[in-house]
Amino acid sequence: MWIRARILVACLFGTLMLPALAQACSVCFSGDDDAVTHAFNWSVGFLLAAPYAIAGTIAGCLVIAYRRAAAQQAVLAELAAQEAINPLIWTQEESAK
Amino acid sequence: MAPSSAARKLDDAAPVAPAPLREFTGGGGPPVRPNLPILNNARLGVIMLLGAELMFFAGLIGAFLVFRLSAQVWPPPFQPRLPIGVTGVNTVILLLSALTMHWAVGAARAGAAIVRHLAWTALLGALFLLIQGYEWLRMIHFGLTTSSSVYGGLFYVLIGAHGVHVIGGLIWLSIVCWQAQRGRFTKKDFVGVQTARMYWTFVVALWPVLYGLVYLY
Repeated sequence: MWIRARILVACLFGTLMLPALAQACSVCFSGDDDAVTHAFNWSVGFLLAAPYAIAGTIAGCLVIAYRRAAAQQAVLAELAAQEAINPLIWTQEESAK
Repeated sequence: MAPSSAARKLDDAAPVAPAPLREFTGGGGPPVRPNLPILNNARLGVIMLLGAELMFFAGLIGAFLVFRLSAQVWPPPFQPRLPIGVTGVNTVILLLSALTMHWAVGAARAGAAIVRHLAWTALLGALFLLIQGYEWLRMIHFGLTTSSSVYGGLFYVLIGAHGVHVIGGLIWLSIVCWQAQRGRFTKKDFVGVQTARMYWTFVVALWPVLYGLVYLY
């Protein structure tokens, strides 16, 4: 039992250390300085960064929109005060009185 | 009577229609503050669409990078060179269309007529497509096809995908233009123009990236 486990761990370790021999790496068919490896590295790096950049941009847009909406709501509240409809505006704090 | 400063500020703010104050009916709950949406649903939907579109083009650019960076000689031998000058002029035309689209949104915000600006945008977009189509015909005549080499395949897929998006943008613009002509948009509600602007800006902003990658790099 222990011997089998050791063999399994050794195989796993070998796979991790030598992906090219184990054919576990789809882009390990050439050397480190090869143009194809270089190209794949850049492409993978680009595709890795793209979702984060896009999600970050969308999140940024939403934050800006939220701040704009909050500012607009503040303007509405000011307008409501000027129109003397203050008694109609109910707040959480007032409810406790 | 001159409008108050708060009213003016509200007028300048984003054209999200404020929810009316719920009336206090005595027996019901307390009146609530107007709950404005953070972002119009249509605009949120377009943002999501553009995110997906960006990932689509990121995939295509990733494929292009693999072939471009691994190639020793680019363009490959015996393949026609791409028309950099004419496409550069075409790039300027497309960038101008983004400007007219921006003016259309400005005019809509001011309550002015927007049909003229939208028509100019569509016209410039159509001119861009026409010039692209003419150049494509010339390149096919010179022997650059999707099956001639990886170079040709990448070129037609990347630039063609953008062209299809320009066609989509033109259809969208035509619909918005037709709606504007029928008086669909007001000073307070012109979300249709804004969403069209978002999509068109994406199409225009993507082009210089593709031009730089495919034509110049």
